[in-house]
Amino acid sequence: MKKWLIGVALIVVLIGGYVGAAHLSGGAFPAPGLNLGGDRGELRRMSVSFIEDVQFKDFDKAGSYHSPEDIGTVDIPFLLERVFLLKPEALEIMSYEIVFADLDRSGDRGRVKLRVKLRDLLKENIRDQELILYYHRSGDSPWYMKLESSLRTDEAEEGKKH
Amino acid sequence: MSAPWRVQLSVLAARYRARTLADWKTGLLLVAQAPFIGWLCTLAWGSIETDTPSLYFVLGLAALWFGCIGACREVVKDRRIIERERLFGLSASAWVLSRYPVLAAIGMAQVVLLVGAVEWQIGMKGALPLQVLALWGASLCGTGLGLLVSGLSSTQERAVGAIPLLILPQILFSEFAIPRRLFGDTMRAIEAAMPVSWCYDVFAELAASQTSWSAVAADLLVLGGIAMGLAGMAILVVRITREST
Repeated sequence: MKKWLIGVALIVVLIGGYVGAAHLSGGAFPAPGLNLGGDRGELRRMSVSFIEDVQFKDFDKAGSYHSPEDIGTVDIPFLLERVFLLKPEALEIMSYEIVFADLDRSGDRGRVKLRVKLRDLLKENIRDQELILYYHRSGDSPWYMKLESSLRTDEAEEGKKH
Repeated sequence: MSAPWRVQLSVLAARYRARTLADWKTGLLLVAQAPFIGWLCTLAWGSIETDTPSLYFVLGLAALWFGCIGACREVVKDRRIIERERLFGLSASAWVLSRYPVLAAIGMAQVVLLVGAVEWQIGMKGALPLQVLALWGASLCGTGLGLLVSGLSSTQERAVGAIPLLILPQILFSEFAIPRRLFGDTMRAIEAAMPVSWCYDVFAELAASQTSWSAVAADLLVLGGIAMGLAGMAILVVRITREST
């Protein structure tokens, strides 16, 4: 009976420790079905969701992480071409993983670094590429992605219509 | 007539488990060094916000170190007991193998905490369970090396003092000392005997754009083979050495 109780207590402590670590690390450890990690965890989940949308070429959904003002103008295929230097139709995202998620001191700006393994379908080569997704929020508003604004800063691109 | 081998193994393992649990503070200290080393790694590699091959090598080296340091006093501190019990038919292999369940469990806790501490800050390339398995393999090799050194040493101080002699060659005979393309046959042969090198190869293969799963499996098998070989050598040493005091 005592051994049985010790075993159960040990399992509870291990699970509790894991869940606690998953939360305190900002969602760095997988915890399927649990929204752990606070803001950093939320940014990780948004980033995974975004890259999954890109992987399955759901560009409308991939654009929906931007603020309402940006959603109408965001052109995900164009932005992806800028990031990966590949036409979206030649891009196959094979796998991805989050390197880290980070918040600034105010807690209103965040960034998530991802490592993406992709295949160039035209040249048939595979490579790893890292990218950083930037997020912002003001006050109680939800987090919004800044992919559009952070990539469209070239003066030459300013007049370009997408 | 001595007890059968299986009974000896079971009794010795239970005795060692009870002793380790009674001295839980030492066990805790051993386990706690892993997240600390992991945290130090995140300080170094966190500054460049990504993992590099040198991180994989350091993790493998740390895992081997954990195994060595946890096991290097085990034979020498019990030598008198071993010698006395051998008069009554104690099996050297049962004695050495009875250390493995506890030391392997401590090793697993250490590598999980080590990788966990690193992953907390930097998501490493590659499949985490296989990375943990590779580090555990390196840790078990370290345990074998530690038991071997312990069996050859006459005092605990000498056993602990010999650990750098086991760790340093792992660095010297690696591609972090000399690029692999410049290795001669001797260097290549020595490197092949270094557990950290095989552990590193698992990490490097997992991080590659096109992972060769057969290479990963082969590297893990070699690590397991080295760990078993070292355990066998430790058994042999315990069997043939006598108290030198």
